[in-house]
Amino acid sequence: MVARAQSGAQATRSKDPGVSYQQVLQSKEAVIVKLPMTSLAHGGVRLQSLQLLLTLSLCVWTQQAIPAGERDAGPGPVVQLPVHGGESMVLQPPTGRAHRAEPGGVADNQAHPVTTDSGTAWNDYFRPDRTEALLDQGRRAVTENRFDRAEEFYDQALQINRASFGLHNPTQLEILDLTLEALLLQRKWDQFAQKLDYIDWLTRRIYAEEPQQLARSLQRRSRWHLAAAAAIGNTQSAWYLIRGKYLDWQAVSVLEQHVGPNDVGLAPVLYQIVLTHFYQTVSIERRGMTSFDFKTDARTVANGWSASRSETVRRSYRIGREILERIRSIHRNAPGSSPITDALLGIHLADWEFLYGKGEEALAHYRDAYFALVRAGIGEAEVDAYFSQVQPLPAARLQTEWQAPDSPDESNVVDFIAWSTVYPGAQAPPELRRLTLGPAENSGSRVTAALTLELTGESNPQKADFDYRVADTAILRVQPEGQSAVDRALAEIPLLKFRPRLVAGELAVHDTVRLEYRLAGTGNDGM
Amino acid sequence: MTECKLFRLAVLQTSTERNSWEGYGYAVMSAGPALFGATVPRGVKSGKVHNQSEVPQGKILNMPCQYRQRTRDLTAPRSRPAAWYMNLAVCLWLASCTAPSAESGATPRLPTDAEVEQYNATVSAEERIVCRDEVPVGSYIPQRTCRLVRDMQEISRFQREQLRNVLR
Repeated sequence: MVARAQSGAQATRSKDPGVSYQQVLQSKEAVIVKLPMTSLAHGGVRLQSLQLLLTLSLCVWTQQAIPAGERDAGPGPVVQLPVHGGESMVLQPPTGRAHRAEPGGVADNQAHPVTTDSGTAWNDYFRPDRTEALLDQGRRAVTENRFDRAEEFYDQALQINRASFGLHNPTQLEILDLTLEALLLQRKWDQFAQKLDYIDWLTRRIYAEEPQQLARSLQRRSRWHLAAAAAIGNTQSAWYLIRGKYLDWQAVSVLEQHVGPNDVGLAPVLYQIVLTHFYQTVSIERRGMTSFDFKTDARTVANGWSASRSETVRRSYRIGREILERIRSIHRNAPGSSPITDALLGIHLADWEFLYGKGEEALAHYRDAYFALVRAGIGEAEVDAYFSQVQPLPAARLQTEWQAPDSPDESNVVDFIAWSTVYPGAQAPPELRRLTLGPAENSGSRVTAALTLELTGESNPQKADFDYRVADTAILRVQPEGQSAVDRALAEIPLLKFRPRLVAGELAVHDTVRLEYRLAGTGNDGM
Repeated sequence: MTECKLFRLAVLQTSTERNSWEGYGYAVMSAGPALFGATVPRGVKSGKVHNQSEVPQGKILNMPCQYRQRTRDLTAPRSRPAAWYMNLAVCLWLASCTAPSAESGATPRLPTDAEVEQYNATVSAEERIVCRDEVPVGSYIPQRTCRLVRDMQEISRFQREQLRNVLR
């Protein structure tokens, strides 16, 4: 009774001579109701009536058969019909969108419209060979700041992908990522959230039996939440930040159930949570935002509960320290653990203490790590060179293996890409740098500055509560030239924190640091 | 005994001739915040102070521990002072209040902040837990308290209703 064909809509008689009824029936991807041969003998009018009746009854049955949560989870007005083997088909309603002619033969690469009996134009979503071309055009449109056109191209590519490879195929996730980028750049927050919900539903379904993949997809969504949190003008910035952190925690929970709580693979995800707590602290401390948004990702306010700014910051500090200690413990107990890894993780812990103003604890950790590295067989000169590198804090990546330090000429030069004006002083996460820099990576302001760092408070032997901060900023060059960029740089650069220098286990001061500073977008230039 | 920054010195008697502390009794009350403000029974003689400061009889002074240590060295009693036994008894009493009973086994450990956050990330908003350090009525010692958001909302709703009933 049920056979595979193209789509329910196209299975009705097509006036397009290029698409015959037999071709439609022989196609593999979608499903229609195929009438028994005896019905065909009763004339075309009766055949069409039966088809209409069957289609309508199928639709009614579908609405009753599909669970409400699953039926509502998909994006937009797509109706899914369950058929054999858990697969399903899509009845895509006519969009009514006229296809504009694109210069340079763009329209030729679009999905071919097919006219049905009712005269409605349906896109031909059964040309998988066109997917790549559409994606290329979408990418090109993004670089030309035509984000709405890019969104259309990606949308068509997504429809083709789903029609060609099935609704639950994982290859559509890459297209969805591109769509999210286009939506983010246009600040279409409703559609952006809708797509994220769809990806959530989709990945939980297709990766239900693959915890590693599910954890990866959760982290991927977390990155998108972070990107949205950093977007200028997003009124739900804090919500996205907290939600992203919770997604990382969910990834940790999934991995813990699969590989156990002491697996080394947990460390990068845990470190990402630490970084998110730092972003949270930066926002709270420097912008005074202590609303309910910063404490939960829930949509409703919990009555009778509020936390002060200092309490929230202290909690972030405690959680970050606890996680870093856990990461250290995981690596310490892992097979093949080395004292070098332990010392490097001790440096991360020291960085965290230093970022939260715990100079005494930080110095103790730094010194322990310094001497542990020396004891592990690394030459003292090399360890000195390691601690002489100018390292903005917090480090973007968790370092667990020893890497030879830069040459002395390069150690005093640092590139810093400011992430967002929402998080002043925070470095752009590596995976979000492309979004941060915008479609045209050479756009935006660059500032070259010479920094003088100073060490304060270390002279008190009773309490080594030191600080290491930018004492003076000399702007050397600005591209493109403009006073506003200089003013912003002078305001933002003193907020940066650098890892203190250690020589022979004692605090020391860097020579003049050359900083290549990329200013974050202000919302009018992409991000 | 906990380390303290101040301790209380109760002058029980003063010299009639010189009106000084020298040679007269004192009671140390530095066992913890719970003991501050307690009344020192007259007649508790726990040592002698060699100090020339003049103070009236019955006055209670706050003095630094460092000073206490010095005076102790000077006036080390041969037997344990009565205050030592009193503090020991109070400490034992306090410990008995917090020690787990034999049936309950080990003291239940409240979740850490990171554990709470991980749990909260995997449950619905109502099922989440809020943990914070709260100072209970009648004490200055913060206690870590964890509550369900759902319970907090229910309590809040109940209290609102009660208030409405009273004001009606």
